[in-house]
Amino acid sequence: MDHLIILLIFLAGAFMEYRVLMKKRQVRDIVVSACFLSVGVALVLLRQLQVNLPSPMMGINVLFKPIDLFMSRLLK
Amino acid sequence: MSGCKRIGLAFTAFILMASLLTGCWNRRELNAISVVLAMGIDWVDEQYQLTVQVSDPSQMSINRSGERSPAIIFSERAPTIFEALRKITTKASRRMYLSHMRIVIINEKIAERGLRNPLDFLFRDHEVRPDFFMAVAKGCDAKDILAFVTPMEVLPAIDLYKSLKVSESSWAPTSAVNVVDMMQKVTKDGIEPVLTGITLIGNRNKGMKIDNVKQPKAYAEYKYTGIGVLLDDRIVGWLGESDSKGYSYVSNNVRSTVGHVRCPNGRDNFVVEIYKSHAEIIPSIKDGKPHVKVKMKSDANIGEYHCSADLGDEKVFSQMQQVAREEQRTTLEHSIRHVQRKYGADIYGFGEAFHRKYPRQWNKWKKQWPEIFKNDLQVEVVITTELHKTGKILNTIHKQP
Amino acid sequence: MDNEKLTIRQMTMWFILYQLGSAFLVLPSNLASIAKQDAWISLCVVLTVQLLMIMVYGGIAKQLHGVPFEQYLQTLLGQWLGRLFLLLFTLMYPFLILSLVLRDLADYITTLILPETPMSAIFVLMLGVVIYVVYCGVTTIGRAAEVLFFLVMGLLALGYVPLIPKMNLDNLLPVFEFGWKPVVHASFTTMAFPYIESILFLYFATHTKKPQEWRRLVIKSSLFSGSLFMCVTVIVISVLSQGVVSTVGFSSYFAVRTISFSDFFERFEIAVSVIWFIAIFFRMSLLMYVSAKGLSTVFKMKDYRSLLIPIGLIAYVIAGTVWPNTAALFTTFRIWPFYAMIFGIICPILIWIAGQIRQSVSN
Repeated sequence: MDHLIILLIFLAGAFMEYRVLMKKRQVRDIVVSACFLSVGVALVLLRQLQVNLPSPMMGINVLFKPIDLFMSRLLK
Repeated sequence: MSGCKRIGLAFTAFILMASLLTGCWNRRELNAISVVLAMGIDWVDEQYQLTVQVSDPSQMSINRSGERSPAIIFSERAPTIFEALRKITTKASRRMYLSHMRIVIINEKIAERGLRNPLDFLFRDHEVRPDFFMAVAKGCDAKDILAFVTPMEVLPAIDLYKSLKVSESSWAPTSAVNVVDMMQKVTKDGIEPVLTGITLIGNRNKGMKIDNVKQPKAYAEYKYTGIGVLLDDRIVGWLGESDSKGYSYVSNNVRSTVGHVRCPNGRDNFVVEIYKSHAEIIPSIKDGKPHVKVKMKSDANIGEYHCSADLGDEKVFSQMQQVAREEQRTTLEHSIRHVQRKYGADIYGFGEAFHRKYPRQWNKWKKQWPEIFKNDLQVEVVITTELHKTGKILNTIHKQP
Repeated sequence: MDNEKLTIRQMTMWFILYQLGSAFLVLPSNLASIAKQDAWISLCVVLTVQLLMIMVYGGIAKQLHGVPFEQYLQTLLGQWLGRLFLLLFTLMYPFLILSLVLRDLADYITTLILPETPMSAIFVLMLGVVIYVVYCGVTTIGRAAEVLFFLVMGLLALGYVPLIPKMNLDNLLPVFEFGWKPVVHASFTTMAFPYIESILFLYFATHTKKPQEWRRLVIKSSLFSGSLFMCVTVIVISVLSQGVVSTVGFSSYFAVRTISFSDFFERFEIAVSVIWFIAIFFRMSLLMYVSAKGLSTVFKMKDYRSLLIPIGLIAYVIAGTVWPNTAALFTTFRIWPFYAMIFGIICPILIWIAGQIRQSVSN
């Protein structure tokens, strides 16, 4: 529920932004911005539906763990 | 933008800002919290008994009724301290607010079992500030000490706190242990923590009633007694008055103190009032064994003089100084030796001195330091005290010849 | 876009506040848990490496010849490769740091100050302010930096000068007890954030008239913030001793909590933690500006402003999922420096080398 309220706040801001952009007819800006915004909205909705989103740090942790072990042993 | 729209927008912005500044999600209304001034921890029936002393705000104002006590005690039992604290809300109308805690009193039984676990909550909670004192209740429950009515201050916890603070700066055998000191000493391996003891003297039951302060002589009073020696986080013993004094000298806790010295020729005493004191610990290694030289320099005045010798004579004065030095040396040596032989707990920080100066050697000694401290450490005490003034009069007043 | 110029003073102050950001609160604990009482020596190591890296950044700045950094990448690597590189760089570095910084702030607030507030509330408030100020333009942020800088310095003095009488220099001995290895190991975290992130300052390299000026102001800001860190670390470790500092999570805050003079000058640690809010604000605004600018160049947009709200929204979600508990936080802290070094050390060196090659080829 709280995520949806926040989503509405962001969407309101985006709406005001798009009004300005429409007036200036900057099509490219609107398209790119809308793509990112849809990604964001999708993520928030997934979060609201309690889907466990993977964190980017988990991937990084797995990838870089051997380097960390190597460095710790080197500098013991 | 038209003027009306602008004003409307500005108004909305102000209202939004004002509402966001109140921080209402985590609000604690003042009349929903109770300020805890002192906390006592006891061990009853295999459970922690937590006692909190809170102040009654209505009794601190001008229109106070003399009927109600200014401080209120709540007590609860639970397997852990945090639970006991929350359980107290079943008896109190407000939530306990720990940020203004002044002193924590711990039962002797808990101190003997180990202090690490009960204190974990106090280190961990975000509300608790690291500026409270700690004391161990001897011969009575922590609950009794908190329930006690004190003569001087309206709120008993403030009385305990102020007394400890004042006593530490004017009477060497008392040592006020701040929780940050405690944390530091527990994490360092070259120094052991100490705790001050508090006890109740007199008729305890009457001491908890308002009758205690209705006449000049209180029925019961509290007293800070001596210093408790801890090994790791357990109390292993208590030091007497003179040994506690030695400890305060060596750990540079003495801001001003008073002690009597026997006159060189006679049965009377004179009093040395020390107003400045500094002790230096110089470690050295002789024949592979640790050796410590404690150099102490104090400045003192003569505070009370019962002897018959004439203080105007320089020889007499330096004799008094020599006797005072001897007295200090014996105090320190006896204190250090007593702690060494009996407890093997390095409360003076000699180990830390070795850690700083001889880190490699210390690495080898670290694990067995209590034994090395007990058996191998040689301590030498050198005192350079100077007596300066004698107060308003020179010799005791007597008939002029 | 013409009014988006920063003066040298504004840039220096902004960069100093940026570097003061995340590291200030957790720095002493982090350093002391590895290097123990030699934590302040780690900072010397960090500053040395930082000065070396500034040479590289200065070299890149010289190669820019007035072209903004984002567009320079395209001229360097060709249109498609340059834009791809910029896209990956922006998504994997400043954008990720934005979420991490946001989550760090929320962690701090919910641990120490407002434990029952959900993190979403803190995220939204902070993101709202940052989005608005980046929307207003870089000049606004520069002016805000000028004003708030003195407030931050004042609060730092207020918080740490009273600790000086309580300093016990014995707590800093013995020096180099375990050799130089822990000192170097501890320097990794401080290098990772905030110092390696100086590559992001390249986005502002064209605001000065000459690249030497830019290099000088980056050196000045790094040295200033480095010496501040060193002072704070020395003070905190000498007041609290390294055992306490490595155990307690937020030790600079904890040290300020112990100040108590005459029973009245005490208990003002929250005023000092305002420093941290302000520094995080400037950090996030720089990161958001850099991300938006980078992404808008990749997609050839006219104005980066329309990307701010989507970026904010995605950062809000990612910040919520970045680490589920404190233990994962520690793992991340330990591994992050190596990830950051790819972007902060290897990338600039590669860019610089590529620029040198291009220059020698075109000559």
